[in-house]
Amino acid sequence: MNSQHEMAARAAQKFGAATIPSDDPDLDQEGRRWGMVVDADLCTGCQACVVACQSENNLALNEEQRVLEGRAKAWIRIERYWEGEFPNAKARYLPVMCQHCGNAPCEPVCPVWATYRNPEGLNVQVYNRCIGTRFCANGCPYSVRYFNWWNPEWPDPMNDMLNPDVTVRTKGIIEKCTFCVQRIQRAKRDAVQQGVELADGDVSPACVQSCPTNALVFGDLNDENSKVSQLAESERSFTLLENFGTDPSVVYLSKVDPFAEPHEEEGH
Amino acid sequence: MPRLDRRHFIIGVVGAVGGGLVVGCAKPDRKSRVQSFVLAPEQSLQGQNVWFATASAHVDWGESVVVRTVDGRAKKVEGNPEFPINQGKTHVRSQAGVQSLYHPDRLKWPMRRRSRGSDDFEQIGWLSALDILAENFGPPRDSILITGRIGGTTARIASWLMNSLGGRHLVYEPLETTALRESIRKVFGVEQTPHFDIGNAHYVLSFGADFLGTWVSPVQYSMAYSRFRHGAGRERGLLTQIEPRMSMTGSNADRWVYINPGHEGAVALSIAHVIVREGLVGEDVWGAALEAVGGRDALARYAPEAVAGASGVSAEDIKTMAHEFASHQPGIAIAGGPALAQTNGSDAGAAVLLLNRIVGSVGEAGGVLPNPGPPRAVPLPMGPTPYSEFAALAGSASSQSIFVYDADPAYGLPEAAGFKRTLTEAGFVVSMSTFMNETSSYADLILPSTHPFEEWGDFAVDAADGRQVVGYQQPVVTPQTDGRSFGDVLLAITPEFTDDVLVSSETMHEAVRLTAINLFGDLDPTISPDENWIELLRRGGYWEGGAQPDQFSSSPAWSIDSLQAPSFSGDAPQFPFQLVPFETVSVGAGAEAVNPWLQAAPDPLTTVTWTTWVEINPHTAEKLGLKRGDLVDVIAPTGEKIRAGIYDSPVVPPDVIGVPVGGGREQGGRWDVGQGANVLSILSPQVDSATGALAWAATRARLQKVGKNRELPTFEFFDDPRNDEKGAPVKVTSE
Repeated sequence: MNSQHEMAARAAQKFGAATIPSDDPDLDQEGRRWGMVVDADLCTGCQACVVACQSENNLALNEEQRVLEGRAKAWIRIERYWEGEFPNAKARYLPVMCQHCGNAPCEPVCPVWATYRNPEGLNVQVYNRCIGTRFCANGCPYSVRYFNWWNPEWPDPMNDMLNPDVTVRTKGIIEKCTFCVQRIQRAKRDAVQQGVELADGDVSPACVQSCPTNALVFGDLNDENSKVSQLAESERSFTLLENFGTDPSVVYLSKVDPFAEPHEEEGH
Repeated sequence: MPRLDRRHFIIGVVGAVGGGLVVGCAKPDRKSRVQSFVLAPEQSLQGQNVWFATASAHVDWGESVVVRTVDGRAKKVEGNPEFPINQGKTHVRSQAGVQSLYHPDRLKWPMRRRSRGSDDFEQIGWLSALDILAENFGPPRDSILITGRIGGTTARIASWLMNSLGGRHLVYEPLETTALRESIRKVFGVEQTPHFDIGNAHYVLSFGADFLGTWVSPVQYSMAYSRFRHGAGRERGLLTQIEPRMSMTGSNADRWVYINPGHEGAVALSIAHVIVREGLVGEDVWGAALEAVGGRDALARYAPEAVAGASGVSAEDIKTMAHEFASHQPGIAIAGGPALAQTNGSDAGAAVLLLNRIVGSVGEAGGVLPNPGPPRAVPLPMGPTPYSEFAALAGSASSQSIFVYDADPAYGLPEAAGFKRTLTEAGFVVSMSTFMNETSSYADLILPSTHPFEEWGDFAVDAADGRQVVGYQQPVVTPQTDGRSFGDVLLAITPEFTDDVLVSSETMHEAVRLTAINLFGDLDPTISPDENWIELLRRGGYWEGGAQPDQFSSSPAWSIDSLQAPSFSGDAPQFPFQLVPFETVSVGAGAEAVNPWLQAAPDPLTTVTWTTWVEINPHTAEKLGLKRGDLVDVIAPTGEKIRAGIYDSPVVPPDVIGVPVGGGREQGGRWDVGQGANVLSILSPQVDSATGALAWAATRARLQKVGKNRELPTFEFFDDPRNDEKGAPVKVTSE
């Protein structure tokens, strides 16, 4: 167990609870590590995942003023990077969401254990425990944690479209991508009811489900037969900010550019 | 029983408390866990999910979705996994179906204008509304029905109505694709869009066709693109995009080539010239097709060196593309967007599509394949009516009664078309829509239309996958307003039908059901026709084989000599910029701007949201003393202008400005009115000489500084440590 997890665990035990670091051998782990592969060569930038996420997860409307203030929320966003100048300029796309790190910088800084790593590798945010220090957002190198500066509003009857499986976050707390944990829970429950094991592909977060090019693939990284774990072994795989040692559960596959100049291949 | 005295009572109490303390303070058998709120059972067990297959509410290329409803409310739109065109995937616009369904600004009931020219409307009931409609729409006035690209049973009913009234039906499409349809007709001899088999192609040569974002059937093509790039057991396909401003598809291309607008046809013929001259493909492949369009002599003047100057594409690039295209077969050449929105648009389209015949990819897997026609009872979505016919309405407006449904020509047509004046002068105007729009603001009668998730319908897919594909639309929730479907309104006012199905149908539900049963009631002979109908609804449609594909014509019916040089509105010294309007992937041509999700979805290339911007080359901006967000007036030769902030984009050529369509709504809802500016309104009325289609990319413009700056709402605000690293954060490999 690393020092961050030890500190958190000791502190939690003092109050009669335990955090759940992924490498704690005493825990009743189910052996899964949910993860995602993002193929930068297939992401076209179409935004289907962005709106699918907002619909599934009851994200507050990003009104113009919120965007101008830099306070718009997008649990998944497609970052665009320019390379070069006209006529040889290129645009590169990179979908970025919570990386569900195995060694998450956001977890040990939370004074109330509102964020922790669950037994299946999810970096989970407990909304009703969060007190809004924003330490986690400051600690996250991927800028994927969003603070609720306002209570969200959906003019009647637009609130009829809200997903009853997902908590609406109120002012003063942090929110972020959950890998659509509600879909994971539902799929697990359905599997139990049907008396079958959860199979590869049974769970699709909203972004993955909508993606027309299958640039996003979700599954159990610990299952060597899963599509996601096989893709993660690709020669093109890399993770964001590898030198930070965050051990992300999101693995990227590099963009293929047959006409790339040699220096472009240095990349990240 | 012994008597309980005071001493034993106290001993008992102390013992019980002590025992309790001992048990309570003992180490628990299990650790207690920090339990996530999201794991609470009530978070995943609310309500009963019911899924309905129906049509997408926001795209017209034939996408079937399944809508998750919980306790009678629609919650989420997903792609229909069984439907062949989108196979469980969706376009970004389709996702917003639930948002427009529950939009607070939907039209709620029929309204009659108290007097022309006023904004004073009174609420009326449907009986009165239908009486007014039946009384005023038809003889003695000329009846003109204007709709979007309707198809299926709705189009059949509309056809009966207009025949019985002796009127005309015009189909309005803001960025009209008339030129594309004409070029398909010329080269392949068919009316239906062919199947461009991108998934099995090795090369795609696209002239301005944003097929991953907005062109023809983008979700189908995006799925095919996935196979094109990384399909099992094949080499990664190569994509070359040739266009005057980088589109989303262009940003995904391996090779992006800038071209001066209007020269796409010439460059396509130059590529053909190289293939023929250098014998890159055998004459047995292209001989007959080339002979039909004018032979080698006609191609002679399109040598790369001759084309390079005017087109802006170097002779070297033309030769490279010719060699790549010829050597990576099967391949596909397609055209769209600004390439066809020129005065020579349909001929340019024909020149591009001809390349498929030159390399022999027509009728081959990985090339261009014919689609079977639709069932007669479920016609394809109607093709757009050329702009010139809308402009011609102005002549006799007072004798006309105009019924507009699911279209907003008052917003989308250039001011120069005079359509607003036509509406003002028309004898009677009725508008039917889900939201107030510019056209309905001129109407004498406003009818609220049901949302697509509240109504019955059917549709045949135009750009199908080589099969006959029919989709079904059914209500997924009870109507949220006192609206009616367009088909139901037409059924109510059409005087008489001789069509058996329509005679016995009082509602769209009946018309669609009976049509489906007539067509597919014996699909599974082991069950009843009604059970087959239910099965069609469950699947979302019919797409089995069976129909014989219409065959392409044996040779193109087009002549190379018909391709003329482009002409533009505005001379270069006065109007130095080529104005390239473009459709964004989310807001589209404007109708989707009402949805805040789509307004807030960033444009992929600029990440701008919520407003209109002017894309300009950074060096040009610097020369003009402009920086990001500086407001400029974009002035067209018509004298019309719009105001927007500039976005300095490295993928825009020095003499081009790109402006997205869809902004500047004056009517609609709380999230779109007043956002941005409407670039369509300032366009000059240039038309494709062969079809009369609006040449919406053939207007030049000049910029005038306003002297103010307004920050653009972009998603470039992330202070990301990855930006500090050397090189681009996106890792790139060459293979």
